Amino acid sequence: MILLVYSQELQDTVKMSDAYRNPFKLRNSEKIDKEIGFLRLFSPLALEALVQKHKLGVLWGNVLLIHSSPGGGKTSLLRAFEPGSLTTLWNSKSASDYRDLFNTLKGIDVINKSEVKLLGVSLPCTRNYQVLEELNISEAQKKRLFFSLLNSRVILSTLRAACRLKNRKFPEGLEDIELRYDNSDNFFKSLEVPCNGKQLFAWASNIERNIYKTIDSFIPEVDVVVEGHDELISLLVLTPQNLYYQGKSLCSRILFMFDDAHKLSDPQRSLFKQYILEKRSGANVWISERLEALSPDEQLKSFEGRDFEELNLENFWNKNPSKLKKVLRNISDKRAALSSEEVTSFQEYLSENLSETNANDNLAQAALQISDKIQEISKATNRFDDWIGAIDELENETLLNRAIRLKEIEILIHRNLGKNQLSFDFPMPVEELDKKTGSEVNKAAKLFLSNSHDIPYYFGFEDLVRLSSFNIEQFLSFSSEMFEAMISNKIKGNEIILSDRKQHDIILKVANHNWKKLRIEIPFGQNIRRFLTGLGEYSRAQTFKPNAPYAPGVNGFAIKSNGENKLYTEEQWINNSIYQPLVNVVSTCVAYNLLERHSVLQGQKGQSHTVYYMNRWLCVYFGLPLSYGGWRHQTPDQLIKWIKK
Amino acid sequence: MIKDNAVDSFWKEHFAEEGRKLLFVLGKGFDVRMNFALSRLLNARPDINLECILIEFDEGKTSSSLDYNPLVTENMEEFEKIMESRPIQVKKIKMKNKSGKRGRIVGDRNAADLIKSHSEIESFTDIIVDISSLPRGIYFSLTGKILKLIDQNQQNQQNLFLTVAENVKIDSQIQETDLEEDLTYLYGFGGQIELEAEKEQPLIWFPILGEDKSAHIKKGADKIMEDKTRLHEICPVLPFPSKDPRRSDALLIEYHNLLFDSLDIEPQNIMYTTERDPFQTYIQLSDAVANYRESLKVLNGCKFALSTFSSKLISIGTLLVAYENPEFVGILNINSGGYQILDESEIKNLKQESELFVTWLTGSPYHQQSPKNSN
Repeated sequence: MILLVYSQELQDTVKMSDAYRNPFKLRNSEKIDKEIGFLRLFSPLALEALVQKHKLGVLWGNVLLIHSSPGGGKTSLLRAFEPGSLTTLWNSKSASDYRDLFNTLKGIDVINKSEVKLLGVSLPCTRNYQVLEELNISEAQKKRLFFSLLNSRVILSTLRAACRLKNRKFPEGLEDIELRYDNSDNFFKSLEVPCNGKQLFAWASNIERNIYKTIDSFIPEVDVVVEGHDELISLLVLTPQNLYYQGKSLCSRILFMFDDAHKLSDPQRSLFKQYILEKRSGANVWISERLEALSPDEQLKSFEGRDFEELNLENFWNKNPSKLKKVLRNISDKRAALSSEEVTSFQEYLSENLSETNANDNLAQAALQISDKIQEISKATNRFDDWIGAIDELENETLLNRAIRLKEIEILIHRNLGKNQLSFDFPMPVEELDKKTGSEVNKAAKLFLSNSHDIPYYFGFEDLVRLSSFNIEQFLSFSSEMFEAMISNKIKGNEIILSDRKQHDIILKVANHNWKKLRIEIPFGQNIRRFLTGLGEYSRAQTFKPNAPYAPGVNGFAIKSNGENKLYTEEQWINNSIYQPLVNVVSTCVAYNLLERHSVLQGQKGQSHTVYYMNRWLCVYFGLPLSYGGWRHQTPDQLIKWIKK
Repeated sequence: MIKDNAVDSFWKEHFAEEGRKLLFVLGKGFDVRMNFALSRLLNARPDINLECILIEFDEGKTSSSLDYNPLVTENMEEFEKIMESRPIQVKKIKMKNKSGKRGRIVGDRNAADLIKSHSEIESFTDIIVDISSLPRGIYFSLTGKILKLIDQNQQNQQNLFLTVAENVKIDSQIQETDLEEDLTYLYGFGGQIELEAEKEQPLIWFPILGEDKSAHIKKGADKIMEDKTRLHEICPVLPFPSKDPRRSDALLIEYHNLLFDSLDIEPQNIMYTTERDPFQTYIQLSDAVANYRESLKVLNGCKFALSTFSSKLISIGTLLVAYENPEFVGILNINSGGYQILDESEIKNLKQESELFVTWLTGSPYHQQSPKNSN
């Protein structure tokens, strides 16, 4: 039971030199505790969104809000800018493994061949801040304590980061750091400035300890006096102009990264953001939040009138699917390369095609049954005689293509029969059949076949990417099980490649497992399961109608006002206490990435709709397609019925 | 510690002494063990001078525990029958403060606030906190506060006991749901872990494992590792010796993937602690803490987080370690927003199989000679 790592210097060299049995199972890459290990698994493509901001000239000297659901990759993104990561990268800049990352960071002015230019200061907002709300003191005192605690921690964190940037031991390196601030704003009362890092550290540390005593003692001392501030003086004082190391400027730029800001209390969060946005000191401030931080109203409606830059990671990947695919391929390659089991690739061991040999019996049975069905539904008319005649020409096709074509014909016959129109019973030409068979009907036919004849449907790397729902952690949760099966094949002496059936089964297994965990792991778990069950059953009913009206299927909804009462606006139902359970469920589903929120333009006037799509693993759970585009309007009354069912 | 068979005779003897006045604290809940300790006590000493504090905790309107209100009513009917006309104070505490989006967990702080000063308990010679139907988020801070108040007024030599009706089968029937996302160290048990000024000290986590807690362990591990630059170590603690000798093996099988693949734990980090003796747990964890502190002196020390995902009996041991070392040992708790009972009739049938344990945390044995019948 001895710690593997004893000092900062050793951090970069130990442990990650070891290989892992299944590196896909390692908890998020930001939690891989050594910088070199983190860098090995970090994809420079993940910085793409920031590169775009930099090209627009809005990355620096600005406030950037980074939003994503849990596992979306925001913490990893921030970690790349911490001094530990940057100095490690700088030290390895010639190594081919890290060249892309180095060049990307160089491109956004963070690092260059001669130095790390940026001092990244990371501060989790998870520690004790909320507790201040519970103290029996005035609101003004709470605000003062909040800013004091935040200031002290920003200062402590900056000093520690500065030591790391200069590769100095902590706390020994503090003595070589200077704060050359002249106290012109009278911010410091019990600290004489200019001062060195050691003195500044002691001052901030004393403030933090005193506040800590106030909030965590069973019987708090009554006379604790804390030097307080009503603003974030730390961001005003800690500037490249004021910070020196051994007589020279410490860095060119300081970046303050506040991680998990959603964990502040609501008043603290608005106070903090309001201060940062109004003060606009020119400091580089990034605030990362999970979507759950947004109040239900904010989440359900669009944001307006922003005075900051926003980066929503899921939205970014949604708009750039090919980049996401590249990132995920890159991540999976990097993970596979770390395996100790000699399975050094990932994508190439995923079969991309349906094995017709394995599915032969099912396909043959399907073709037979669908042929019979076509005969049955068309016996009252001769409109489809030519279409049915065309079936005979399918004899030369593979069994798979024949079954799909038959299903397409069946769907199109159902569509035609359902049309409420006057038509003469003249046989429709085969050209009409070809014209009506679009790619959506083809996709629906494949889904229907899979659903009714147990033919693998979810497989291949493309599907794994879709299954990620733009979330890297989710991608890893499916990939880790795939990789586990690859390792098993290798150990058993079998071919490593996973068949379509194996992949399909693994994906189903993970989706079922996720479903079971819902009630335990997610707030409002019981209501959420009921709601999603309602949505899933409804979507299946719509998807698997014989005429496939929403091909390839439905897996989302948009909320519209309740029927006749046109004046009943979205704002009204959200703020109506009757719908509180629905607001809780939908906002929590968005926060935990169970529902993906997309803006969709549709209708004659190009009207914008907010569509809530199921997370792709839920599509698997309910046997629905992984595509986007199939959604239906629902009223709040209908939605809440699913919860109360 | 007094174990099941010896409890009745212990109460008879202990409360035979003239002038004893007892404060009995228990929780109002659906757990069939709610009245188990109280009824055993009153059966043993019907003449006892007793006042009762009944803690009624509010988990919020959306809590799944509300589904079990009929069980609470049954328990309350039994409670009123047992208590007859003895004085009862009902104290309500909120587990969450509703001012936030989904509310902040405040149960621990509110629990400690139930007893504001020593003057509220000074008239009692004995205090029993029955944790059988109290969640961890409540009894840790409540017990810590009472211990602190007694320790600061040692001239009174008050006795503090914790009682718990143990029943592994009932525990496995009651599943925690809606796990809280925002994990915190329990009030009074912060262990100064979250001080930015001491972040360079490595953080050692001792999760004491129980069945079906993978979600808890993942959330706990995420909290421990939330600071990427802080060195950390995870030392899973398995219950052994245990009533079921295969229990720790079964736990290792259950958590194999999580511990060794996801969290990359070194096999030599695994510890064992006695399942049915909290003082033994206290000694073993204290030793481990002392060893780590000695080894990591070169890094200016280290901090420790303890979490119990196992029985309440073991949790008493962790409470003692954290209470004794407030500057470096904290309790990391994973609150749940509600509970799900797998089979209600089954837990009623299992009630009588429960075993009562009494742990004497402070009082006369620590000042004078050891009392009879206690370990």
